Amino acid sequence: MTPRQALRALWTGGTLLFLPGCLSGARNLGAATTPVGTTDVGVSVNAIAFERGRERAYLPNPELTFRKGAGENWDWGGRITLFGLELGTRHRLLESTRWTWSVAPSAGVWYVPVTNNSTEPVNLRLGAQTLLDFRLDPKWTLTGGASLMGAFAGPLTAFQGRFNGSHLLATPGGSLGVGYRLKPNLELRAEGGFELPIDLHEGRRQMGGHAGLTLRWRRSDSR
Amino acid sequence: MSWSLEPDEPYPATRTSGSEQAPLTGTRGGRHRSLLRLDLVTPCALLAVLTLLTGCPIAENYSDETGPRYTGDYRVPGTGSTAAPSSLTVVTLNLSFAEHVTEAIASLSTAPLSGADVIMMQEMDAPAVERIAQELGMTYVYYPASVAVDGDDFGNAVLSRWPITADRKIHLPHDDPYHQQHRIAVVATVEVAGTPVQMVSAHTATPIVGLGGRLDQAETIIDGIDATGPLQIIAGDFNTSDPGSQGQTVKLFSKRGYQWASEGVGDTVDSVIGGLPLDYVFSRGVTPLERGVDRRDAGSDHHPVWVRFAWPP
Repeated sequence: MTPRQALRALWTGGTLLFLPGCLSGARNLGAATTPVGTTDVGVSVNAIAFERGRERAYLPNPELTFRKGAGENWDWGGRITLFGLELGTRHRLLESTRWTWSVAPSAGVWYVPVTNNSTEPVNLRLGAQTLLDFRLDPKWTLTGGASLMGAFAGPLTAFQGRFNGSHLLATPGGSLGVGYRLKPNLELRAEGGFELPIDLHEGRRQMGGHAGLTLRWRRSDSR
Repeated sequence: MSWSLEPDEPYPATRTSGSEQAPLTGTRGGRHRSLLRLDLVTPCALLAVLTLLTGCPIAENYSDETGPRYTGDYRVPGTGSTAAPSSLTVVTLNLSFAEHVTEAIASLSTAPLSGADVIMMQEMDAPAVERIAQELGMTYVYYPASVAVDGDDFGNAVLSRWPITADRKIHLPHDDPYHQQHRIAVVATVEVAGTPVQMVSAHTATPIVGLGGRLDQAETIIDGIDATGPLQIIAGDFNTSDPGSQGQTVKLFSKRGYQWASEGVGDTVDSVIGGLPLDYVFSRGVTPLERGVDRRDAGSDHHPVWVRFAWPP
């Protein structure tokens, strides 16, 4: 490989890595909160579909996720991409033998050097997801989710009070996941979902989506 | 089917051994010192990032609808032909901040570029355009879009051996998100042996403006000359270095009835990541006969792209 080929690969790879973070609506979560005294750490490999130019593009999007038990019915955590971080809490509202219902508000910030139709260098997302678990048996759990996120995407000059070119978006979405417990402290979760971004000034954007796998490991917190 | 899950523990927490527990490096005091360091580092880092972000200088843009505008006519009286030519040659060249004008003139003065009927130029300043027009004996119109980082104007020009009977600039949407630098296209009505041809020198934003934004810019140019006559040539730097952007740009022009007149010329820019296809000639109403890229030094990282069209159309 020549240096130029290496640099070209770096350019393409960089585009792949830098671009997707804030475009991913994947949470890869179930409704059951993480118990107090434990932390879940996960690695997700998602494929995301998003509007690029006037067509749809697909990219891989690796993410790290974590959740930490904070109370009897709630935990907090987030997901980390290359240039972004989303943090949030998850609150268990209802619980039965088979069902768990939770709501998970979150806020995220991303820096995206290469902009897209509805992304800019500065991207903020604020919203909530509601999650419903249905346990099929001790190993298998089905999770349905619905979300509504508000987003601001603005130029770097937003820090100077110049917002020319910024977008305000409302993004409803849905997801369906299935979790399988490999070991008592190890879960594999598959999730697919979609988002329907609506630019508050320009109207509907193309539908985006995600599909991926998460391997989540639970460990006790140190005493 | 058994249901052994506890509501609080969808899957049981495991009591870990010491080696699995969170690493506690040092004593309580040591950890405290680490936290203190973290407490200092985080605000400092945030402050540094904020300083960096707010330090982006805002570009000075020429937002006026009609100017600034520069024109000149250096055609030698009596030497210009009024008879219909047998072909029409169009060149586009991004001269990279107009730093190396002498090399550009040398390149434009030798075959296959010499004798070009119309030259579309980008990243130009007024003195550079005037000097090239003077040396090549052409008439020109130039509009700067903004002031570049080197303090010189930054804009597009159309130079022609045939009379320019009208001209204007088209403001493009989507200023760049780092400096709010503005882009334009320059439209010149060139009368080729009495037949008006709309010539557009275009320069869309770099890929830091998303592909959607750059396609909007290209469409603004097309819309801007849509009803101006049947013969149109749009040429310039469309900054299609990111994956997929060439295909969507060509598709947009194709949908709007334009032919990719410079199709097949290959890469037009030498960059650190290798050759890139950034410069294009699109046409409507005229038929391309030949096209190419002149890969000799033209004083820029871009190579001049030329297309010879059949004439009369």
